[in-house]
Amino acid sequence: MSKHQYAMVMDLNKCLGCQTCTIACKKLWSDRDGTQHMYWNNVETRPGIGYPRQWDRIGGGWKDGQLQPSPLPTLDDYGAPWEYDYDQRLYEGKKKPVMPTPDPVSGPNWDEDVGALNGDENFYFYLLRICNHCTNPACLAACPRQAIYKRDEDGIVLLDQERCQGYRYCIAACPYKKIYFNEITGKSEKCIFCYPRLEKGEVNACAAQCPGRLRFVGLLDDPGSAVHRLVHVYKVALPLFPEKGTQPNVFYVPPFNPPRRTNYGQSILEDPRLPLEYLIYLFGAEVRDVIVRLEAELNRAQNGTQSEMLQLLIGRDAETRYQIPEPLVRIKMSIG
Amino acid sequence: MLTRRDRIFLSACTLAVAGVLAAPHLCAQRPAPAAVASPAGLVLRTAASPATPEILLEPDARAWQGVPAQRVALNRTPPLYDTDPPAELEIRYVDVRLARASEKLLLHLTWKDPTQNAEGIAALPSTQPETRDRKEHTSATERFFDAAAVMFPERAAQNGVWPSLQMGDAAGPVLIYYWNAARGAMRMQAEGRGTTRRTGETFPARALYRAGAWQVTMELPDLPAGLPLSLAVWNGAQQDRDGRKYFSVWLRLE
Amino acid sequence: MSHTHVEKSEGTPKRKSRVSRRNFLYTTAAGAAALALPGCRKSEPPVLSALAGDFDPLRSYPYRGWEDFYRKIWTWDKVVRSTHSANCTGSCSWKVYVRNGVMVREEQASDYPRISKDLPDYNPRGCQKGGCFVEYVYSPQRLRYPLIRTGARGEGKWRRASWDEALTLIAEKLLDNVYNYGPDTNTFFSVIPAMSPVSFCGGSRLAHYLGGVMLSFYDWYCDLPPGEPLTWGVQTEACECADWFNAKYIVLWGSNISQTRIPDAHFAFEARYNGAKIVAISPDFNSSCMHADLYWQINPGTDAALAMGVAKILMDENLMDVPYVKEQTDLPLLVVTGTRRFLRESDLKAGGKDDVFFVWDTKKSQPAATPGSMGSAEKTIRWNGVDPALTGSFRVMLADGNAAEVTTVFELLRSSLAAYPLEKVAQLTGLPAHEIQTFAREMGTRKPAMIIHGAGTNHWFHNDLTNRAMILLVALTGNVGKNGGGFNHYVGQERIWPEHGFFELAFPEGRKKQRFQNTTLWSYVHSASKDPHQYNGKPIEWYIQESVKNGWMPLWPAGGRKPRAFIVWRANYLNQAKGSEILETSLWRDLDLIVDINFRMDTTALYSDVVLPASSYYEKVDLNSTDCHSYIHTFGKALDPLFESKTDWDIFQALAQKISEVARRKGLQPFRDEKFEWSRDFTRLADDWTGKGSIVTDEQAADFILSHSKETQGMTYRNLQAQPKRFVATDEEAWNSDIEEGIAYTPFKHQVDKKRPWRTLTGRQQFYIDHPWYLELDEALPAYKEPIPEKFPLYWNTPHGRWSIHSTWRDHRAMLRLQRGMPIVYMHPDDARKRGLRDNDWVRIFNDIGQCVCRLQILPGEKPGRVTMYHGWEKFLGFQQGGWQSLTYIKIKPTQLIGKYGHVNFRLNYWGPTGNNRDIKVEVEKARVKA
Repeated sequence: MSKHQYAMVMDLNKCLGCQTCTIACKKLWSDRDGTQHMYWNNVETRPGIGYPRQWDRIGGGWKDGQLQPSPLPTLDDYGAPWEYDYDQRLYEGKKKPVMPTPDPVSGPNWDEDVGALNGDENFYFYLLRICNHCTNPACLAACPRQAIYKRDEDGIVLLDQERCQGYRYCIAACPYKKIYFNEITGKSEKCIFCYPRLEKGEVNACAAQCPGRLRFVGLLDDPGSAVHRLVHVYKVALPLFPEKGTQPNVFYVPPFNPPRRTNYGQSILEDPRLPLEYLIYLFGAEVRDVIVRLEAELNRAQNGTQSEMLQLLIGRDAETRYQIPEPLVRIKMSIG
Repeated sequence: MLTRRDRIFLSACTLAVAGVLAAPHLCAQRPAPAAVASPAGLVLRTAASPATPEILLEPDARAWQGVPAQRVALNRTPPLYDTDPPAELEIRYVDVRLARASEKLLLHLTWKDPTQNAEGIAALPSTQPETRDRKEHTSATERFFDAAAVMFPERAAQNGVWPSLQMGDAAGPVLIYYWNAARGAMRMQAEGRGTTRRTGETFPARALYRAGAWQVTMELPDLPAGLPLSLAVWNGAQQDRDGRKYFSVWLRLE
Repeated sequence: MSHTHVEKSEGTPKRKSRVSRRNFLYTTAAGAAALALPGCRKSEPPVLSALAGDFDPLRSYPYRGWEDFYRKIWTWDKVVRSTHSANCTGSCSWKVYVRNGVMVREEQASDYPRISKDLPDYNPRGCQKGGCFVEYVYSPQRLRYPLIRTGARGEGKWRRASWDEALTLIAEKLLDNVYNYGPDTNTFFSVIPAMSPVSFCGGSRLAHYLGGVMLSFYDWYCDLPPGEPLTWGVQTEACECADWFNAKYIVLWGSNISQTRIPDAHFAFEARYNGAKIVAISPDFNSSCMHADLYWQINPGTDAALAMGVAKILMDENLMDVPYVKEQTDLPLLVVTGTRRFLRESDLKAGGKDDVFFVWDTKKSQPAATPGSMGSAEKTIRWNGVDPALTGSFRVMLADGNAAEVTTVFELLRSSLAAYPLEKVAQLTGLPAHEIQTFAREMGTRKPAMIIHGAGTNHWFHNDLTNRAMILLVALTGNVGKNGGGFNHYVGQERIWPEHGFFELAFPEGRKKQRFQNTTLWSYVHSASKDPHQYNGKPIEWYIQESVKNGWMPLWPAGGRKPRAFIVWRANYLNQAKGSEILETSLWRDLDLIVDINFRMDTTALYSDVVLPASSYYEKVDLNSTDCHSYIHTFGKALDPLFESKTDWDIFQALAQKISEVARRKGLQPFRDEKFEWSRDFTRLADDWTGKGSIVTDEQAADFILSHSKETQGMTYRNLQAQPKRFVATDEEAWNSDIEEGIAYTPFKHQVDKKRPWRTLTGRQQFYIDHPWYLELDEALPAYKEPIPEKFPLYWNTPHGRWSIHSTWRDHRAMLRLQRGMPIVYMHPDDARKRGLRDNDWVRIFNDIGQCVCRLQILPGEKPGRVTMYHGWEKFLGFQQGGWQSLTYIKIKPTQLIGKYGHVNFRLNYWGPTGNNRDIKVEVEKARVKA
């Protein structure tokens, strides 16, 4: 166990699906050679194929203390990043429309807003994913070079870009498929929880730049932090696929969809548009209690009684949402 | 404590070694008409060559015809991790030629590999990424490349104990001359599993894939006789990398 | 290789000696093999032992020096504040990072000052599009130097020209047009001053001194909600978005805030946690609907029916705010039953005024003149002892000696609402009757209640009726003019808070000396556009003719002449035009000179004759403000204009100078512009343009606006660069509420609290419009009318979406990679199945107007009977044929051509026919496309 553990809570009832977090992360960290297909933060429509495709069904994680096998996703599973020849149409008079190459067959957001049908009624929501900086990381255990480590001072899991040899056991081991391979450099990379920003007292880019203001960041072990209160006191935030055994430190307030036609006024648990089974698939059986609790709080608020828990989830300002301590370790850097 | 898996593996290795020692003729593609490769045994012979290292660096140089090929049995590492699917022993041996020329030791390896896993990887451009309209793309994320390497101790053995075949150990650090079909040649150091690191240096190496076989040459320093060498081959098609590979036992350089 | 000393406060990690799952034995080479032997399996969580090192990576790591790799990425030399000018209504302040002389990244500035502790703040403000604008700066689409076309328009063949050559060409042509054809043949099109007023004014000042025509945009884009000028006498007034948090009932009606109000949507979902209920009304189950308490999948185009049905329930169940209705609306005003016109003073006595109206005073049983109307001497709407009747019919004696029956607007409304019984409304809209009832009751009792309104309902032909019906709901329930309430419309960033300073900068000699033109009319008349429908038995051409003849709507060039030069900046006219294909083959062909000023090669630029490179959003000085918030902030130069680009302001200054130079060179005599009695000496145009040298730089222009507006007193461009600032006051002539500290801005407090008259003919929220055309067309009151009939089975729905702001970002690679890379049409699985279509198929979308070929995506949330293409796709990207506007044509509604009716008069972007586009239908079939 690290001394402290950074955690993030994402309220899925505030997500707009705008992908500003995705772009914030991408433009900062993965806009380099060899990283164009990587979205360390991604937002996928659920139910859906996910990014990379079918990541939730192909393997990885722990079972009975054993690492589970998994194939490695291919570039098409991530989506080959399209390029465009603008010059020929705009400046060279060649008249062929500007087209994406290669021909699009898959992508990180391919089935945006599709979801599924419950009878003839559509349902979907947005699931945002970053590396979970797990307490029991499968990636760390899988690396034969021990090139993945968990920072003792804050629990951030990092992949040493010097010692990594691109073996990619970590990619297979991660049940969330949140490590990506940079074939140009021959190394694997992943979300770094924006440690360079946290070290300077700035919250993660995906959180800082989210216009939905749905992310809460702080130390899980700090009783005064919003993340601690949401996860351990109000108990409304759950990890994704807890049965994979990695003990993620990213938590979700589970989503509601509006009631089905003619059900306005009924409890969301009676014949819901968004089937509870699907949420149980993602978050485990505990999600039912969370939904019950959330619905009760929402009813109270909408009937005129303020809800303390919902007042916290409103997250009026940055101070409410982020509690970043002073840098936990003084790093003396010698940059060559 | 030896598990059942360990026992199987030990038996396999013993058989492999025994098999090598008693190896029947196995035809291999030859770089040039020459005698059939003979089993190396535990000693690797070197030949003095009148050609220059530059010439010998070409895998199909005629100069290699005069150098006898020695067949070295390859073992397959067992599945090391719970998540590793077992792999067939598809590449059973590598043919080795060693020639000394101009204070260099030229190594020539030939092995059969039905698939050439050697796609080119875009080199990092020299221009600043910020003003470049296009950044280089990863072409694939799940492939591994064919490779080969030779490993030997950095310094003479202490008390006659050779380093661990597992990338050496603290007392016996090793050097590894590694060639990768997509990434080229690189020199590495290690002192035990998990400590392998690139030194940043390259070394002359060439490769040629023809008729279902690789031929790779490496220009090594003038290694002393008696030095143990171990060879390794990776088959990209079998998802080989790291310890998932083919390897030989320690062979003593003549 | 660098290393890092990690200083830790506690001791060093202990060495672990437990056996791990990989336990290796070392053997000598004498043995069979020195090799790895898999160790024991463990069922405990793997705390790894040191393999070769003595560390446990779960606890510590000795090689942390490499961490500098990512630290170095998050570095910069300089950070500059700027913003974006795309007409998104966001008006977000951003930080732009420069490293080694290159812009590398941007991040929201997140420093809007807080309004109050209770309200969530406005930070961060900005979306994914703004978050990658930097990529445009260096992209292939970026225009770098002036271009003159060498091939056909749209072919994409150019030669590079010097600024001098390009400006000379333009100047000569503009002057030729003035002297040979008339100044009104030079046409200028730029949109939305609020997003970058200095850039706008550069061109408008030139148009002004040339006598050219300034085209409208807000009505042409169909973003103007005509119901607001009709009912309220204003362009559009909405609360700032922080006020959403004050609502207890939020109706998202035709507004997909999660996609189109990205920086502000959080206020609505936070309001929900604070006790509001959210109702989302939309034919498709879209990104905003997922967070609603009630989602209604309404039949497209039936929204007015729903509103009227709800109004009926409010009335029948006594859920109206009666005192409010009596004071703030025209519902108590008397109408002469026989003529269906308001009872006017001129009816009651000779020489009486046409703009003084009456109610029936129940206290005195006689008519009483309403204070606050346009003709009333009393500038208040406060009743002075009068208690107006809402119900009843009465008799009055007219000036001609006859008696006449009069009744109230309320009574007329009530009888018209009889046409909207619950069952019929449920059947028309496709919504459950009992839920409509619940909704009406909630609207009537949950206060404050607001409607957030968008293009989903506003882009229809009968948008004026739909707006008015919805406004009726929030007026009947007393929600207009209250924090957390109202009818709030944000489509288009049309509102210029510092209006006074802006207008003085834009049209220095005054708006009365400027030619203005509604673009919908201009585009229709000067092209081969033809609306085949008849309205009350007459074609639209008849109404247009009447309107122009009556002086209700201007039409330039006058006298049947055609426009000759077309200058476009900050806009993409051709790509976005309804009936784009029709325009391309008629209007576009007839123009002699088309100039586009832009930072990227969009479709209009591609189809122009001369393209001038404008600096990007991060290379200019300007201001930015919006309806959505009550702040103003700045553009800044992260770098000076790159390549050969110039700011819009500087481009027009250079063009002004060139015009003066050409005029001097040619010895041109001043041109007598009779319409304004203005002798135009073009040798002095450059001097006039700079206000005789008083406004030369962009910064001076920005400061001019700031210092000439009440809203921005005390502000300068320089001091604004530090942080966005809240407006300090509002100009009472322009606006209808004060800026109150600690309180979010909502409009119409002057009327509701201070009892000032509404800016309408009657001085009230006016639901009865007794203009003859409205009476003829039976639209005196809000009503439901069906969409204009078209053959073909599928509605063609082109909403605003998250991936572009109109056409900006439509060609942006980072955005395309998060979609499907090219234009997509969405279709319900049932509709697709019937047509044998599968996901990602190439399809042809067609009707009698045109066609386009693109790819299909199956979307279960779409409404059967409708297909959706989010709007703004550039013609040159992805389509194998046509574009998104190939299926549309211009339809003008007669009611939107009126003028000289009290408060309803043509005023640029305030009133004029809107360019609706949703009453269009298409068919879709599989297309064969060669790879």
